[in-house]
Amino acid sequence: MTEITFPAGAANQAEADRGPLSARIAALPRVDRRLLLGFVCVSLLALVLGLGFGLTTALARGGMIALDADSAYRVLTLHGTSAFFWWLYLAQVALMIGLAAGESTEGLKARPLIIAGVVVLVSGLVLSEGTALLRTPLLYDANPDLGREDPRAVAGMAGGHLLLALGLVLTSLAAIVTVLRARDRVTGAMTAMGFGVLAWAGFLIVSAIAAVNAFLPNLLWAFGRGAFPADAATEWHILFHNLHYLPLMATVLTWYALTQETTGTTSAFGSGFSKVVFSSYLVFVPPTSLYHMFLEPNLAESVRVTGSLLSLFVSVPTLTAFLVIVSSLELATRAKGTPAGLFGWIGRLPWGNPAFSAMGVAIVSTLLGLVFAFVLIQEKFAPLISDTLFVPGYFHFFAVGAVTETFLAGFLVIIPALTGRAVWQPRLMAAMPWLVLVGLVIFGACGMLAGLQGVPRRTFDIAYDGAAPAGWHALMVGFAVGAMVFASGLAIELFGVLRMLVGGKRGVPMAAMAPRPAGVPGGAAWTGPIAVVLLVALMTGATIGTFEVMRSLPIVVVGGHAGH
Amino acid sequence: MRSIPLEAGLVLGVALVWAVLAAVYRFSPALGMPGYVRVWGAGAVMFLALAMPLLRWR
Repeated sequence: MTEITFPAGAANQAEADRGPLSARIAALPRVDRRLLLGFVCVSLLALVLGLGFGLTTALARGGMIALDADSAYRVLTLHGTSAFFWWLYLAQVALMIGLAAGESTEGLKARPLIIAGVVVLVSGLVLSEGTALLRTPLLYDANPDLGREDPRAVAGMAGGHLLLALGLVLTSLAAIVTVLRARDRVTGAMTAMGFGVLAWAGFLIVSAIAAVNAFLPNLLWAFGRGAFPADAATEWHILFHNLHYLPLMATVLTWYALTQETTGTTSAFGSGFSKVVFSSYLVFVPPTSLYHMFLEPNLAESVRVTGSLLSLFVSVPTLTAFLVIVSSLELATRAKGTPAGLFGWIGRLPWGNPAFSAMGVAIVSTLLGLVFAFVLIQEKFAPLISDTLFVPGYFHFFAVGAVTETFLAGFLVIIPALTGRAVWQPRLMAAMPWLVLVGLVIFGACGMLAGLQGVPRRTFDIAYDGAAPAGWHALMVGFAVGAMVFASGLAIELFGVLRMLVGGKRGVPMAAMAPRPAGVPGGAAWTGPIAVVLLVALMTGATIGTFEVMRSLPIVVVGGHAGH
Repeated sequence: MRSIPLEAGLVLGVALVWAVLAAVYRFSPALGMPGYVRVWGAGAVMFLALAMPLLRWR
């Protein structure tokens, strides 16, 4: 008989006792700090590109600048490629390597793999951006159908994505070796973060395999070595499903690290339960993938029903992690005094800390995104709204508000530890995430409402010779204004992050500012469960509201087919 | 009675789920998506391999 052993409470204490992450990163060998800085800088370059092209896209959609059809598609391709692929994955590599290095007192292991990873990833970034800039724009999914007459464009985009996959494998292997060698020398136990990095790196490797499955046939066809990839859309959806989960898993792991770093709070549920939550991402990935196929016309009805039921589980890991973090924070904060009322403890959190502020906005944004994600993935809605502006309207709550704000929060901890420079204008930097959230709410509300009224997702000229509904114009202007607001907030945050890299003043190391890690006492914490109940109520309300808006339309909307 | 570390148990559980899903996609004619078999199957093998060093400690 075999039993699984859960680590005792001592494991939690050991995690609390080893000091702040920023101090551990500051103590890394020089070569590791330089490698880490390299990944941070390259990922920020991708963010600058993604932000610039994204703002251009939104302004064009709002009619504030004019782009011809070819340029519009090119800018959209550059935005998606820079932001969705390169920013989100280069930043993940930087954070994964940073968190892995923080587990080991001797720094990173398997450095040659990491150095090779830098070379491969930078090459891939250059190839992707160059192809999107100079050849036929294929959109970020490198759709080979759009490149039938320009195989070099297909080769360049597929090649860029395959180099990204190779770079992810190399760096993930190094992270795995690092956290495995950092295990307790006596018991072999891992910290919750060490195990989280292991699971995350494993998931990145599997996603790289999915990328090879999706893009290698495109590359072979472009070189005349294979048949045209007729199943490209289906293979893309497999990868795309992983690409939904990976940034969210990275986000939750970063929240876990940031909570400890900025408040000194460890999980009230113990390190063993945190490991269960982290691994639950991997458990829920394959079964929930079917909803991406709802737009396939030949999908059997039984599969549609099964996919609908399984899609209900898609947010279980993220909501569980949310409950763990919020409840742990509530218990730890209440233990320091008696805050007034049910939610008074929230005001005592360190909102003046830019990293914590960005994390707080990320959590709110995640919940908002979940409300509307559940509208989109319902089998009856998916064919109607998947090719409309509803999609960018809702997913920027995840891509910008949740994931980008979290990754920048992680950088706000890591970069000062690497450079010794103080956080630039901490009060301003703590306020900017809220400006981003305001912009996202405007952008999301206008985009989703426009989508429900039939505004297409990737067609820039929506005048339809004057036949378009009059209300569309105002919504598109609101969409662009929202984008300008959140892009302004993000641009200021980016400037602040760059000032910590170059030219910023030397300051108090973050390690000295970080509170001493402490355990969490027992007690009752109701905010997390109340938030989840509210979330379910909002999801129900959003579904009813969507039905009502669509029933009130003067025309019947026929769904698209191109997938999301 | 023999005990296995929590970390190894969790990763083995993940490998099992991915293997079962790969098998479902392989043997269910209604699905007909070989790419899923390849990706989930490769994932199952990868997580199984990842569990090995976690098991070998004891």
